[in-house]
Amino acid sequence: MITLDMRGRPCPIPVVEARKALAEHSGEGIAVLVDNTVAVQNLRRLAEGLGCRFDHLAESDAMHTVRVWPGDGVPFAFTTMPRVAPQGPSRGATVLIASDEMGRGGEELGRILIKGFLFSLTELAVLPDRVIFLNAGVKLACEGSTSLPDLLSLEEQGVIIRACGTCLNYYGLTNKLAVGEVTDMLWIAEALTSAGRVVSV
Amino acid sequence: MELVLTFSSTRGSIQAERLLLDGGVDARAMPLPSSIRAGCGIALRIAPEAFSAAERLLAPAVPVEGVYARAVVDGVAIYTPYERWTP
Repeated sequence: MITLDMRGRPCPIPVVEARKALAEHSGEGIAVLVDNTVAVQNLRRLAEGLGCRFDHLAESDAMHTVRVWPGDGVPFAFTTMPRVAPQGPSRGATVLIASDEMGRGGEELGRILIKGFLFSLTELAVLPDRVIFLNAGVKLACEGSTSLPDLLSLEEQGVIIRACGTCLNYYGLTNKLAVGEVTDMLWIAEALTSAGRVVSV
Repeated sequence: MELVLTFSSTRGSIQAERLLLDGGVDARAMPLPSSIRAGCGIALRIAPEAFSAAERLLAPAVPVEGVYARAVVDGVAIYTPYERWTP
């Protein structure tokens, strides 16, 4: 099993490199060294998306060993970059929340409008498949957000909720995400390009 | 059951949200339900237990236009005027 040392490499490099290495070393699997838990979660999702097995050893806060190897009974034969849509292809809507304000103009107006929008999502007859939070939008999914009950209700009803790990880190909110899961830009790019349609707010 | 507070202007809603949040009342914005009034606007949802605190915080600053009880029955939200509130 080859080992990739991805400590010190920014998101999403560890996932991209891990995926390349898996394509080259199909059969035996890989070990990846990373220095943060967001990278561990991203590698776990990569493994799940590929139908691989995964384990994780935390030697310290800044030293994690992740192993990804072929799953039981799951074919693991790809030679090119696999195209794995997150959680399978989506026929419905993916909602991208890229700000904690809706529209431009009055800031306080934009901030109250987006809360109203998130509540309105819960009342739709057909829910979106996914809601993705980017940039300052991640604040809406963190502790202290008055939209949390609405987002938790969406998640309970099967809506996939993800927040950009880079963005959480930038705002110092990495440990404050209170709904959904952290994700990386590769996952977001796949989600946006495989969605039935994308609603960008 | 939640209470829904309505206001006569968007600026009033925004001001009320800030007063309530600053005063420790968990106020959650929602678009004004069309069954309450046609047109646009932002309403605020609060827990019934927080009602008297909300009244205390808002009374000096923002007039409340209406108060409704929100109940969800078979997936449909129903709004009825809140009997413990008088304009």
